[in-house]
Amino acid sequence: MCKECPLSPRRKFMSTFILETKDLTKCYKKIVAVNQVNMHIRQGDIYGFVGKNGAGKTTLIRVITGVAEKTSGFYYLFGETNPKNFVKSRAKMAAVVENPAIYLNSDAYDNLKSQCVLLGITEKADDAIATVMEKVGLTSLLQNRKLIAKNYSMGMKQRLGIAMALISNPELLVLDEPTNGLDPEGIKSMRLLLQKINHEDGVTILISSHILSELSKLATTYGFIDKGRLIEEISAEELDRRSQKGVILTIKDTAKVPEILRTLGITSYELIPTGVRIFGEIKITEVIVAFGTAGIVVSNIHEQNQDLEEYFINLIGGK
Amino acid sequence: MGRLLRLDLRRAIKDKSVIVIFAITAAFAIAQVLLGILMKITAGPVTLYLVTARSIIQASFSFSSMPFLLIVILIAVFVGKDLNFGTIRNKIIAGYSKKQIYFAHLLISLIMATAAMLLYQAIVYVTGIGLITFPTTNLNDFFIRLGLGYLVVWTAISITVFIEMMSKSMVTAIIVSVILFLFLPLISGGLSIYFTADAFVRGVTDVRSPILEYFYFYQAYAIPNGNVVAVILGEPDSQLSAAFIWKTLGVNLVMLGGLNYLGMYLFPKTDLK
Repeated sequence: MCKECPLSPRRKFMSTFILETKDLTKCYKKIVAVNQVNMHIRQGDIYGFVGKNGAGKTTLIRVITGVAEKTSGFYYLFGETNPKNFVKSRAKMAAVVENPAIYLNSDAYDNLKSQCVLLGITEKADDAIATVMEKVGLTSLLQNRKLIAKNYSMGMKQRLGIAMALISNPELLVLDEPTNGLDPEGIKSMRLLLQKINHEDGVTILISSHILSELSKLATTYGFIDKGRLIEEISAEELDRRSQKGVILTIKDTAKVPEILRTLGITSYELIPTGVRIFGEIKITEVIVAFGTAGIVVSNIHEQNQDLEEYFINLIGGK
Repeated sequence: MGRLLRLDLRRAIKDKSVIVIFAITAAFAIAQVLLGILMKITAGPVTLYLVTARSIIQASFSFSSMPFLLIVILIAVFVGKDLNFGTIRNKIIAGYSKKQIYFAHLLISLIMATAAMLLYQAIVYVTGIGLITFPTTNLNDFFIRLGLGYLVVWTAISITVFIEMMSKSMVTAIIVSVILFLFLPLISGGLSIYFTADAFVRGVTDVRSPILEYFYFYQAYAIPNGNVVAVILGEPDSQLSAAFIWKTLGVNLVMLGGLNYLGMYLFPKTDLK
């Protein structure tokens, strides 16, 4: 076993996760902001990190980006399990945590130039700047250099923050509420941008947001956090399936269910521990009569027709 | 590490507040010389200047002097911007350790403080040399005071950087530093008079408290001002003793090393805003 982590040294070569946490905990005095979180982000994922305000999203992002120190637990970056080497691993990461970190007394070009100096981008820095500014739709700011960042709108600051993150060509991009302050058009162009860099450049993205309708158009995997605990991780496909219109019938014995449904011509269903979930439009009375004839007692019928928001609300207990 | 320093140097050169504080420091140097020209006693053909270019330069190391306080504010504002804008987060995410970031901030602060002090002193020297006298006696002592003065200022700047990096607050750094730097040397001066009063009464002028000499804030008082008793007797340029020089070197190097080691040890354990 490696001294710093509970995984064997070989484990890091076997990991398919670009970011993984194990029992990661962060406390502020007596407040547990992040509680034993086990998060898994695969290469190429767009990981939608969902939670209410104060659920622990930003705190967790602050810990994995190195801005805050963990209280206990572990996290692994790019397969690196030794915390002493995280500093190097972080160079493959870029992030916009909370507010965009920009020099408010400088203009967009100067901010990006500073970022180039920091990252050691010396050759063709101006080309790189022009490219990222075009990506985020801020090319006009390169012409208007008298306007300093302090006077930008929130949306412009957000986009500049993302441009500064993208200039390093990161493998992992961490964005904390990136749509804050953006108008609907800005939100859409942000989504298209993130999809583009994910598909074309293969950038893995961790994105936290409370605009769930927008997140549902983007994420390939979801992590739901509440009161500091990661309560579920689920793929977008699985979520879509679970959110599909249909009914959940609570029954004790499901042995005869496939046969009954087959005779009714219902093929889209799944057996779950509490009974059966039937997808699509069905004649519910017909199903219940068929089950009753076979001696199966249906103790509860629950109609399922939920989007991401409703799924999340149900998950955290309707609070 | 080199990139961090390059970035901070770039910021310093382009930062308007840095340029403004440098400009104020320069203007203040000229004002000091002009004031020095006015402060003279004329008795017949003899004109005696109460303030010389040398005494202005020497006094700039005093913690209550305007150039020093401007430098403290300059450093606090410069470091504070990185903390307040959140741009320090970019450095961490770009793969730099908090220890490296602390060291880069410290180094750039020392460079800026030295540059501002040199600018002030150079202007005083250039504008004042022909107008107000610059005695050539005890020139060796003057240069020793200059060297020790910079050492004391570097220690002071390290204290400000430490306070700011640990508190993550520009306002806290300015308030605490100014209180610390303004009042403790005054207390040291008072204590010095108290401890050496007996000798003064007995007519011994070149006396220092051997205990107080081991304290940084006494040194911060004694280097720019000379021996307090000698100052009272109108001998501000009395020579520093070898023992005092060694004590000053020792105390400041220990403080510089210790404080900055402590900062680089503690800062990585803290969370950023």
